[in-house]
Amino acid sequence: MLETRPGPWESGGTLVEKIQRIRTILKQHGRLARDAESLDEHADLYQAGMTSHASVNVMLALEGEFDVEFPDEMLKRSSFESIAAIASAVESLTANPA
Amino acid sequence: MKVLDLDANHYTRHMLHAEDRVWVEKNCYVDIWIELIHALGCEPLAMLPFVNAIDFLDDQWTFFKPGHDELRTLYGIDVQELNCWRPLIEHAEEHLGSGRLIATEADAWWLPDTSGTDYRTQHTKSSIILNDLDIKDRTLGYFHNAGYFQLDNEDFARTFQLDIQPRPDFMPLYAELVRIDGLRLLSEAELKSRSAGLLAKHAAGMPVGNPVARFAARFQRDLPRLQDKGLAYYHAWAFATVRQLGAAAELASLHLRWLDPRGYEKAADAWDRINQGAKAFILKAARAVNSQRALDAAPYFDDWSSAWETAHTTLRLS
Repeated sequence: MLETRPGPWESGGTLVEKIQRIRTILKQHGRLARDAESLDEHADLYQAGMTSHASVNVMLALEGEFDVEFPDEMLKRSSFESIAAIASAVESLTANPA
Repeated sequence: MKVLDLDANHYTRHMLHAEDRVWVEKNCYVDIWIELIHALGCEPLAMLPFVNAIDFLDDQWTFFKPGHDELRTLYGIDVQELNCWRPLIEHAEEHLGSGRLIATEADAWWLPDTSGTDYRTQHTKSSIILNDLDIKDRTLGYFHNAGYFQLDNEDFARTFQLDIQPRPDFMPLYAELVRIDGLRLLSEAELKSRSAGLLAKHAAGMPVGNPVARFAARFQRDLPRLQDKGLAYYHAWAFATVRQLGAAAELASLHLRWLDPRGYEKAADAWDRINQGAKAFILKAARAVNSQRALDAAPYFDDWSSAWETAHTTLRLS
């Protein structure tokens, strides 16, 4: 199984905290050519070097970290195209858990 | 020596490789042809009818490629196998100097454009096209995947097997000579006419039985093994199966919409259903493999199966 960091956080937390956790996941699994810590929230992750292959691992790590499951309509390339897009998706799922 | 005057830092990709494509990279061989034809000033969409004939053969979807006769018909490009009777760099010096490109298999370990996947991480065979060779400065401009790139130094040396002891067990990789001295730019009307002819040929060559139904049955049998072997194995499986199907479907849809958007709307929409569904499925199946949970794939396979039948019927009757 894909190893995800056993975070001490709950699924909730502020948006700032969530974005930091997303950056950590991107650092571990995104295989970006740029530093995930300093990447602009709206920067295109695919242009920053994330491949389709890596995006699969990022999705799995996000689901493990935030204890969510992306619904079918979010399983598309654009859902993972930027830190902001990921944060928005995670926010909607943690605010309204299935 | 260079064949085409290109700058890797300012290269503009063809729209088939735009970042908003569902599958930016298709397969390595198709990808290099898309970009080379684009860089030559021709329209690569015209060569795509072959993707309609994609089939499922037990452990993989066919690794779709343009036929050499079709490249000649559409663009006047001639492709011959390169007889690698001496070191590749000597062939490259000879042929690039004479205006011929070389398409060759290469080890992605030494291709810096794959920094997100294989570069300095994994030895993987991939296709590139050699275009701009500087032996003195040890730089190479090359087409690979969705773009045009440059490598140098150690990557150059290892790509051409330089600075290492000759190995008696070394086998040269497969390579092709690409002649463009007969290149022709057809009018859009003529190009579409020839592409329509190829579409009729490949529509007639679509599988007789529904390949999605065969894939669905095989997937049900393969899932436990995928779960047992884990994510790395899954990624290799997904590349050979769902990714090839999805990428072929996206290319088929884009080609039909270029050729005749109204006339082929139904078939293009059908291919798009498979294209979009495959992207979601590759993520859902990864989740099932990673979590060891069951996966109800029937809704996907039923939809694709129906969509393939629609594309098949529409194209065969048109």
